[in-house]
Amino acid sequence: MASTNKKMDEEMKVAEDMALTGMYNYIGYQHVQNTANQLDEISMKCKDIDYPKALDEWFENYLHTSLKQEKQKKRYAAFRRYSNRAAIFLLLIIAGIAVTTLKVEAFRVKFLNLFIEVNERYSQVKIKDINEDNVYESIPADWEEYYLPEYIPDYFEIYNIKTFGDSKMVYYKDSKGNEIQFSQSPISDTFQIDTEDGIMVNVQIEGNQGILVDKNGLLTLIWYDENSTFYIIGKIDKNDMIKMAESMKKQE
Amino acid sequence: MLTFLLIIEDEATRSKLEELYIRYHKEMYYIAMSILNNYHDAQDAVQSAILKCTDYIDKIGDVDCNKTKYFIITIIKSTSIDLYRKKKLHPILGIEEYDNVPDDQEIQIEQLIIRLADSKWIAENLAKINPDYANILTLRYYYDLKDVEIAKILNISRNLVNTRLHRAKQSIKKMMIDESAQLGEKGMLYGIN
Repeated sequence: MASTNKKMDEEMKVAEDMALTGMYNYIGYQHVQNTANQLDEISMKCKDIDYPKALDEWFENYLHTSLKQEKQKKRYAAFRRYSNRAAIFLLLIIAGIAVTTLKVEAFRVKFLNLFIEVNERYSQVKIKDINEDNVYESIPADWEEYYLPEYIPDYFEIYNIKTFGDSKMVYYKDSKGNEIQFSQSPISDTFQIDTEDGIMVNVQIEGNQGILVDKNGLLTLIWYDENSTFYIIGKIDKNDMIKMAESMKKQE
Repeated sequence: MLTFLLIIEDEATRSKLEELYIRYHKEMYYIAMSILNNYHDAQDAVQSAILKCTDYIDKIGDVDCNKTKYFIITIIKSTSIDLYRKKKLHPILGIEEYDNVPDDQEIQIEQLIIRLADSKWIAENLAKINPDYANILTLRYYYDLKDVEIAKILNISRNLVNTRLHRAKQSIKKMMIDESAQLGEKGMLYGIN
């Protein structure tokens, strides 16, 4: 019985609150009508007042500035939208290259070892500190797994053999003193080629990627396989140089 | 002249604000001048009021309706009074009558329904007693604004919004109790005669 009375009291309280809220709402409505009538009276009084032009100018300028800022905001939002899409697209490409690089060996070797950066003076393939080492007249006994071209242009023969660290270099010379340098180095080494004012083309040597630079008749051919980087430098015919490169044979 | 950093976000807002300005700029300036009595201060008050309107533009429907008129007049008045206070020209004191109505005095719900017909009278008298009370009540119950929004429009703290709301309700209660007593004495209360 007591709990029923309590529940009824609570329900009555809720009903009273709702009635009061409705009344306050209606009082508010009446207050609005009263105030609006006051404003109508004020409108009649202020018809011919001396209104400051500075306020009109301020308002016009304010609208103009906000319009400009709104346009800038829209442009920025569009830029962000497109740059986000471009960034996502770029990420997908990078991810694709990364996956391919990790999974496909041939691609990995070519991608990692032939990262060519062409600047104004040099085409950098790799950079190696060259320390002069021993000079030989014949192939040193400790040379292992080295290559030599089977084709040598007419009238050229070996005249010098050098070792620079891990690099193996063979020099050819003809009777006129023209020189051909052939070098073999580990795949991790890098070289710099002076390509300023030179013509650079991509070539394929036995399925391996390489570049050929022609600078005032001096040719430089660099290419690589899975284990080594090779180059040939000389003032010889381009076809002879490529033929020389393609004739490389591994010596036991 | 004040420096304004507020941005109007879209064209609809901008065009409505323009409509408001064209319709009420003279009235706002007139009201500001009547409170501040100073050319430059009145301009500052109008600018501040316009900017404040930007925050509530979505609550403004028809530019010519009474609800909008009330809104405009409330904003320009509160902005001007606030500027007046800041300049410490003259402290404006609210008349805090009908302050302490004992809570044990209750209004019967039947009497509330009767008094609904007198709402116009109640609204007039409440505004006379303290315009702030009438404004608070209107903004809360008729405009359905939150405390934070009311505080911003009237340039007062949230605590003061709640305080004044409570006092407004107390004032209405006392008005109705007094009126009921008078009508009762005259035998004019419904159900008695």
